[in-house]
Amino acid sequence: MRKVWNPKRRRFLEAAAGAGVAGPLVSCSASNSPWRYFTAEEGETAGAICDRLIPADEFPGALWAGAVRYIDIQLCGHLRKHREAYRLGLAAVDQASRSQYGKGFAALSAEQQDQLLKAAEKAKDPFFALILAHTMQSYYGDPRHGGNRDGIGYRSLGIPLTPVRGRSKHDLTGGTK
Amino acid sequence: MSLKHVNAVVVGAGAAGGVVAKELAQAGLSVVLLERGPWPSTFECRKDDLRNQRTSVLGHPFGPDDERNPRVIVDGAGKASLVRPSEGGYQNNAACVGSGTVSYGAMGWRYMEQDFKMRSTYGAVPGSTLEDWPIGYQDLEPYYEKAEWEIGVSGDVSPDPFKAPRKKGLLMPPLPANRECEILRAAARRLGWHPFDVPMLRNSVPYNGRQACMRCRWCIGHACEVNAKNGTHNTVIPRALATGNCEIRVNCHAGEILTDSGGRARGVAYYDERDRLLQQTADMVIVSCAAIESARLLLLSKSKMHPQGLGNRYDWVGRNLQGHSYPRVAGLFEQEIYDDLGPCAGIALCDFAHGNKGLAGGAMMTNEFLRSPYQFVGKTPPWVPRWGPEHKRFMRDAYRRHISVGGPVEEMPMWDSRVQLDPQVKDYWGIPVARISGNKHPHVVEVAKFIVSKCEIWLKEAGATRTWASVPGTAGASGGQHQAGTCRMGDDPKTSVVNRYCQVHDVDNLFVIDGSVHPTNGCFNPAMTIMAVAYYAADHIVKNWKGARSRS
Repeated sequence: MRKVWNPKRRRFLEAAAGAGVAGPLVSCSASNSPWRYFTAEEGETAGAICDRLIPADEFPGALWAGAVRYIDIQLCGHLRKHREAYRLGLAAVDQASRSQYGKGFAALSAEQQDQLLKAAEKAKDPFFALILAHTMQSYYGDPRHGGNRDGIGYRSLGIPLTPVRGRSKHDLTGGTK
Repeated sequence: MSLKHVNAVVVGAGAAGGVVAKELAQAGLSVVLLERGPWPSTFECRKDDLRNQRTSVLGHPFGPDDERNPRVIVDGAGKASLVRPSEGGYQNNAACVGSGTVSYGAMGWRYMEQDFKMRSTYGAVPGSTLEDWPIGYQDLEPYYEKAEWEIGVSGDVSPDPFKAPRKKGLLMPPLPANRECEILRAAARRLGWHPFDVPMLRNSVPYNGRQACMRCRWCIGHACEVNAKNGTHNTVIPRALATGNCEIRVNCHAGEILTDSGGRARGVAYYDERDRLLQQTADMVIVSCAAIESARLLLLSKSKMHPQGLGNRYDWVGRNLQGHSYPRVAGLFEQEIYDDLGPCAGIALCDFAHGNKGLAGGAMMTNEFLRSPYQFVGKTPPWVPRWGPEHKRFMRDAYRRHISVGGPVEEMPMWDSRVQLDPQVKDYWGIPVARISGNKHPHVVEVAKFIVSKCEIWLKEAGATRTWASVPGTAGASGGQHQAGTCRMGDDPKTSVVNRYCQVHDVDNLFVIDGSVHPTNGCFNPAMTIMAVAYYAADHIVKNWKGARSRS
């Protein structure tokens, strides 16, 4: 089920990228990046954004839960069409951060980061809406897609991992638990 | 390349096409059933809250394929954009054997008597092409009954004083209520309303060789893991195939209805799964592709005798596209509601479906189906920020303590809300795609606001401490899984596309049988009515069939 996170497959993809025979799946990152699509710097900026959208409290935040992994995997999958939006969007966030505070977004304090994000939300920045939706998907959606590590999104709401009941015998027809 | 001639070719193996294929095959006609999608497989039955027919942010298991089937959607401001099937606004209906009946929530409603005579009940509504059906509830009653028994319905509508008269009760008892249903039922009774158990196309006890529902709440958007949900894919279509008279061809994409020099239908040209262009000739053609694709197929079938497309002599094909407008109210409770147990939507009332003062129509009201955590993310109240610590805390506090109720508001058909062929964009097979444009009628918003006020009363009586509502506006055309109206049924060929037997007015061997023919779409989920109309129309075809019949 976790085929996408198969290390063997990753090695193959990296080899393919290195050999210059990359198909559309692997128009990927520079070789020093741990990500499929993002560069290391992009991954860092994305992680910092995600972790303010769903920050840690008693429960871990979006970064720990795998938001960047989710987005990165899906940018090589169903969300492929948003690749350019991420490349430009993350660069723009860093650009705004540098011009306002003199350093990259990931290096800012949480308050400064929130200030920038609130400004983006207020300006109806489409990239903000995009990364917000994807962060929420990563935290509250099915773990099989790369986020929601250890089912933390579900567990924080007090609900179990998605059951696969059809494969075991349950008789729940008698009334409420 | 042409294939062995048959009596009937049915395009689309969904709610209607499956029923028609089975009725005709059982009567001894030879039938080819074409379906653009594949058979649904058990692999796709898995529960995935990001990849299903309702929440398709990571795609959808039952299609249609994103790469091959774009549409052009014109929004309320008149801006046209290319939309893929899994994206919002596409007005998608599943592409697989069974179509929407594989992944629907499976409410099995009969329309009320007023739903068939909206115009004579409420009078003309300015700006709307509102009209009565040429047939009434009593014409369909026996076919509703047949659909209920052949497909399989559970529930208990006996406490509903507003329902149309019915000869038999429901086939299977309702499932036991979950906590949410009990709370809502008691509250509605205290208000003097008339709550009852939603009729569901779902086994509450073993039926038809399949087991009972296991109460997992995941009906909508997903296929049933234990095959307890009833669609055409696990009832009538297997029965059609078992007669030996029906052949189903999957992954076949119809491109045109072929006509002869006299203008009569002679078959269907389609691309098979290896992209070969084939011709299936038949004595009659039945179009059951749902409102958007049925209209598109008729419009694509231009010939010397039918220069504007089949059935389109008076420019009615593709018009009056409708779905349902869904206002919803969520309420926050002090006690825990969530018990992780189906039925999800289980309790309903029809007190405000019709006869609301000053309003044309109303809605059946019911509690919401499964709300996945991600769906709830987008439905948090306006006083909660959309992100950050407060949003996260609200998710935790509220998820297990909220109830959402709402209902499908009957729409006022609009002449300019329509399906056309896009002049530029073509699909994978090179066929012009559907272009959908228009807006909803403002009166629908008024009715929706009224329904919201009743939902708020219901939730507050049930103990909600705070409520928040969402009311859809008028921008953009409607449709979705409840799509209807584009090939209106009527007695006058100048103001409708098919006659009362779903027969295209000027092509006697061409039928449109699906939600397209609904002049109005009721204030209920339409699947059961689509099935009943299919039984009714198929009965007419069989009774008037003068050709040979093979023994089955």
